[in-house]
Amino acid sequence: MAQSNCSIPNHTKTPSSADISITGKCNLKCRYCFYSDEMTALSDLSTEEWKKNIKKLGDAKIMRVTLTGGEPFTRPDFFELIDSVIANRMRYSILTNGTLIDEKTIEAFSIGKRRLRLDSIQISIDGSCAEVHNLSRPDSFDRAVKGLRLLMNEGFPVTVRATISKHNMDDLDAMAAFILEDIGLPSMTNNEASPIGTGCTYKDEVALDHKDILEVGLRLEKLQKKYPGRITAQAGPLAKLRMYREMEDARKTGQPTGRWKMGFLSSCGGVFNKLGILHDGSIVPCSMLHDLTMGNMLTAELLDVWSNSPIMKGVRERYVVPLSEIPLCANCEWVEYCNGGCPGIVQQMQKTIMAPSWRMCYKNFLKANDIKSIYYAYPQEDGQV
Amino acid sequence: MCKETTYLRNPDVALREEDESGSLLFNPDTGEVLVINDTARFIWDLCAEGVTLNDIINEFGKNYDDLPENLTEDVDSYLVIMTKGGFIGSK
Repeated sequence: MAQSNCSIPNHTKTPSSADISITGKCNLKCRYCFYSDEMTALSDLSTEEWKKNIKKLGDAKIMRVTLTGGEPFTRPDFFELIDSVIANRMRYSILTNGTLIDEKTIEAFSIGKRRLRLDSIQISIDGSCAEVHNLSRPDSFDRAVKGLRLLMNEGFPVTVRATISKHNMDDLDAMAAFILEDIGLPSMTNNEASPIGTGCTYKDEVALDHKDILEVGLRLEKLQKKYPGRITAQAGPLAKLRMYREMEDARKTGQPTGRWKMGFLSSCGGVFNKLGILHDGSIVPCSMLHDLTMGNMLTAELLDVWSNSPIMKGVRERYVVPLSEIPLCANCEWVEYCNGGCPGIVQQMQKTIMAPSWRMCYKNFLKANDIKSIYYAYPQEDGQV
Repeated sequence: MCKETTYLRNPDVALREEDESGSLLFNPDTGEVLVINDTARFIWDLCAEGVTLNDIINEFGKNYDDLPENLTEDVDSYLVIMTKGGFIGSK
């Protein structure tokens, strides 16, 4: 693939953060989990192996880790691993389904610096009620909400993420009311179910198409007006609509967005300051790129991998690959404004990172919705057309 | 600031050496980050052992020529910032 003359941004000398999947085991079987069966077949590292790896992360001066899975609370040694994170001078966040959090969990957090060093604990809630939530996350709503309320009541830095799928796209208003009003969380985030991993098996059941993206995105934007500053998204329908508007604005004004390098495969900035570790110790650029293994924490030199791995370099080099050099995009009228979308989704769907994601494609989005501009989707009184 | 005050690193604080932006200190107890220049880095290195303001000024004198007139005030203000952020302790 040809590259432009522009340079690849510098990566930090060491990663500033890492996503650590400490286990492949999970007590749920969610319909869109990207940790597919082939991933859960890998063996978990032992307590001592994880402690050794966590020390390596601390020695590399990594500041923050996100502990995820699988379901991290299925590990009986979970708090022992948290203590290892603390002992190695790092802060941590947790991604959990919330179903295993009970009074004993709350008590366990009170020991030492476990509360002090906790940045956030994110629970997945995918519906306003069991009937909706359990479609994506079977038999888990009551337990997840119990865990969420326990954390809330004790003043933990708890957040909720809703993964939007066909299962819950008609429940958004009720879901926002439930989480932001009934439970009373200050804010919530959302993304979308992707047809990768288990989500590939159930793609017709869960994955949103371009029409769904527009419908859901518009509804979420209305909810943002109802709950100012309380509904956010880094990915999914809300983020996509924002990106499409920025592309339109850039074309109209000739001013770049500033959020990505327009016209290049530049959507992902994560690989410049962050990496992922899988539950068997594999080092990967990102958990979404879990099949691009760069070595194992137990044997590899972490900082050598970070700076010199051909895979890591390859993902970073996407940043200077012009979309105009990609046959699929070469003649697209949006080629100068696009960023190609998430490499993780592309890798999982097309087994390459040097390609754009059709799930992010604005041209396809407009065609599917039979509109000429994202702004045509807004009522005129919003003053956007 | 009292001249007898001794400054010592918080052992939980990590020093990250970034590429272009110099170095930064990270206090994991607060999540606070402090970007440090060469002067602050020199002070941080000295704080590995307990040092007073005078010790630090003396070390600057031993290691650098053409010291600025207001060095003592500069060092003092760095020590205040580092102490407030919990990056170093004082007694």
